[in-house]
Amino acid sequence: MTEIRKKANILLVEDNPGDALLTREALEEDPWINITTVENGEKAMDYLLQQKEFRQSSPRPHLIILDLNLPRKSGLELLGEIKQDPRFQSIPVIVLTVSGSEQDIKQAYAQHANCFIVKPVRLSAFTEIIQGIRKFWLDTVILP
Amino acid sequence: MHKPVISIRDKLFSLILPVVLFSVGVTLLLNILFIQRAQRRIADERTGLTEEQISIDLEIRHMTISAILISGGGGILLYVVLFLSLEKNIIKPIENLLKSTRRIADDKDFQTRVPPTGENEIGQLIVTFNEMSGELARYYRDLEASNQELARFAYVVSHDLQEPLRTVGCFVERLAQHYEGKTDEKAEQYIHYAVEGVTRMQKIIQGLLDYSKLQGQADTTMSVDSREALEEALLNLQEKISAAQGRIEYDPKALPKVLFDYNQLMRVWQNLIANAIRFRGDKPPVVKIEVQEKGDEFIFAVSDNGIGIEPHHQERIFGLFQRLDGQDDSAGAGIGLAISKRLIERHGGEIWLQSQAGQGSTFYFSAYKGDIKDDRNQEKS
Repeated sequence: MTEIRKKANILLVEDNPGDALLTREALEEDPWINITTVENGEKAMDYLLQQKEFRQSSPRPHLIILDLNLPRKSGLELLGEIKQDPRFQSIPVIVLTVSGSEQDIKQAYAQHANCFIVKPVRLSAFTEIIQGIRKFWLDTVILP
Repeated sequence: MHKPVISIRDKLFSLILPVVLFSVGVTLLLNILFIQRAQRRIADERTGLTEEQISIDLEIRHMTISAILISGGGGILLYVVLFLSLEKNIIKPIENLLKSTRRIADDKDFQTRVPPTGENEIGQLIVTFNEMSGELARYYRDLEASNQELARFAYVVSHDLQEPLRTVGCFVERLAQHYEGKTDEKAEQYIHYAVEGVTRMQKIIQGLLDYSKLQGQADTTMSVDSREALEEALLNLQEKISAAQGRIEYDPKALPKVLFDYNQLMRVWQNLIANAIRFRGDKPPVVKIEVQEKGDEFIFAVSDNGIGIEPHHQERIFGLFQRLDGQDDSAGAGIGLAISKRLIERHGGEIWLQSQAGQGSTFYFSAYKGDIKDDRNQEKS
């Protein structure tokens, strides 16, 4: 029996273009993945609300990968907004960030982050984590 | 917490009853004596005392009783007046002072002021106290501001420095992946050094961040098993120890409970043992862990058979980023001992060493004894 696969939309909220590129490169090996990258929290909200520059084409994401260290609206603020909005709160949010500070971890989970991952230093480890996210969240888990 | 105050006021209050009883008692006793004597006199009337003599006698008796009553009452009155004066000039101001010192000590409320009472010594004491708490408030504010500054600095270090550094490291590696098979040995060496440099700087930043987090006193009063913490540290170091063919010797039964944060104690063990392994000599390293009791503390000793440290270097090895070995050792960022020192000191202990170049080193550290009573209670419940 062949599985029927839908294309998975991922919203990547990441202000560091280098990390965004690495994440895209690691994920886009899978042709079933469609990634949109936004570089700050305000644009992420615009995307979700399908407004401003995203009025035309912004398919609802199946998964959000969120960096906490964002300019202007912080990642934690954005996380809070997403998880308090009944329209978006069911979308799993993966926090992927440089800081592994206890406070950030606590606050992220208190705001209902679905998981918290610290970006590793080495490229091989980073790629492995992105592959892990792909395998678990897109191949193993059934998303809403 | 605090011992209950045995108030001066209560003590003086408790003295009122004895004073009253004493006055009344003495008056009554003297009265009875006089009445008995007068009765005896009246009874002796037949023996020739005149009417006048008796009446004088009775008058003297009345006067004496009145004098006694007046002096008794006066005593009580004097006591009350003295009490009220004490209350107003001494007890109340001291009570206010006590309240304020408590507020400063417990709640760090430096805004508290004691109402001034007057020009006497206690009044002056209150004025000076208020001045002093004002000064304290200023220092405390400054200290908090500088602590916040430090926390902000740590945040900047962790985010704003780590992130671009990570990008550099990742893309150097990506470059190597991209040109795999097309690079020569030299190019690979360059890439290797670049990645090594990034990894090293990452460690330094992480160490700095860890160190800056360890501000102030530890707020632990938990009793932890030093053996458990040691064994967990050894588990973490397993690879390093077996790679160096090292041996760790300790008596599990001798390792006591101490007042320490468990993870922090584990870190102390890990840093000290990792150092002992890292600075080994030509022979396989042997690390001995011993413990001694001293007053309300335990002194732990971690001794090795490594290269040792010359006496004139011993002062600075506990400083930040002080490394005695060359640049090539990427394993140590030179922060392990500085962190250990801070961890031990914030638990009220000390760290020191005895060493001779070529003859190994012994690091000692002290920690308060764990509360045995507490543990028994915990086991029961």
